[in-house]
Amino acid sequence: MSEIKCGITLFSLAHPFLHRKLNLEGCLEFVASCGYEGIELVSAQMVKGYPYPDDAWCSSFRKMMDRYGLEGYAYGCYVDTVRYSGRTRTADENFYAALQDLKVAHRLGFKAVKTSSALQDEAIIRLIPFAKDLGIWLGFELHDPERFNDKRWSRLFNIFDVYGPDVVGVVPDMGMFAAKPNKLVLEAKEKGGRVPDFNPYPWSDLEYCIPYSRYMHGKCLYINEQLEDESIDYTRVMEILTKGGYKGALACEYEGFFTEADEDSTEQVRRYAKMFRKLTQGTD
Amino acid sequence: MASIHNEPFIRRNSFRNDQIGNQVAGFQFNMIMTDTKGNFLSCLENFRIQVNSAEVRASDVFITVSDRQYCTADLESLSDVFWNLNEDALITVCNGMRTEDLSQVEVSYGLRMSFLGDWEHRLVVPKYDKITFGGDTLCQK
Repeated sequence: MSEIKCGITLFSLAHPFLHRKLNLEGCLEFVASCGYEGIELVSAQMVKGYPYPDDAWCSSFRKMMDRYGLEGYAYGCYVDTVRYSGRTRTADENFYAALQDLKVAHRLGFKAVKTSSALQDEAIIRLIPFAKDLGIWLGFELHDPERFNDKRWSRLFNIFDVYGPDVVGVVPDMGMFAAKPNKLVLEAKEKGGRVPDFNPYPWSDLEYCIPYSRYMHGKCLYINEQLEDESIDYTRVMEILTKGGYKGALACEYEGFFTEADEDSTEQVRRYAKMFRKLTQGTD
Repeated sequence: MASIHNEPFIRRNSFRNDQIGNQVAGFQFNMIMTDTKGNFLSCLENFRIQVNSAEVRASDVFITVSDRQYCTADLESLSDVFWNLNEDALITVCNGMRTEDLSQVEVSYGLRMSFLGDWEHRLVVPKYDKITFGGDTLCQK
């Protein structure tokens, strides 16, 4: 029996949230009803008062999580390198912003912070003692077109080795293994859109990442009625993760709204949970 | 419909006069943030409004988020003002025009992806929306 946890990043519900069809509590209630065990909250997406939510909001969020029986798998953060007009943000500025995110993650009860490889090495090294003290795992998202063995990521993996993967590591995104177009892409092509190139990474990349990861993104591009993602072979993903001893969450990250915003995000989120159960338990 | 980034962002039924006492200073309408997250106002580049095909001065256009009003001429400096994803921004165009005078309103800007690249290689997503007013029909785009 797989010990991989069924999670979801609320990024997946960006479209209904943007259009006021679901508020934050509605998102939590909905994902709980689908059977998700825990969530990633995206800071700049749904946190009222971002980047400085007040105590009352933090308290109400924690109560909502308890009400719906959800675990806080990760606090999703951005490194806003070009927030200031005319210049790139310095490592010091990025460190202080990341420290603020870490403090909020702790107040909200999250076990991990998911952030970006854009955070400079010196900022990461300054941040690690604080994360360690708070018991929060720092995860850096590995997303195509980056690869684990390119120059930037080789330095990051060195940091992971120095400080230990229980403190800092990688959040691989399964979009790296998207191998073919799905229904949304093909329909967009018929309307004059371009089919992007699909150059899936070798599965050995995922195998490499497993020991360094405590949280992963299950990219969801389009899941059909047969509960198969038409671009990513999740049967293979689950086999590799299970064999590699991965026990963290594989969090649904639906992104079909970048191709076709009218596709029902909530139905895709339902299907991912069913696909997950089918692959891990043999039932949907 | 295509991408979330290409969706209409002007609230079609939100146009009203900006009346102060017995005077009409101009008109107002609401906008939504067509992105997957909120953004700092400094990330709205080259924010422009055209009314009846004529450009409105940035100094005559104001954006209100979180109950505070800012001039769009100052957007690039507003790096600490956050427009939440689930919040309508109120746009006030202080050009003395009433809604009855409007035949077309166009809004364009570039949304800088604050988390991608460095300044020289930043990614800016173009945004454009248009509303045409005609008789009893309010047509968007």
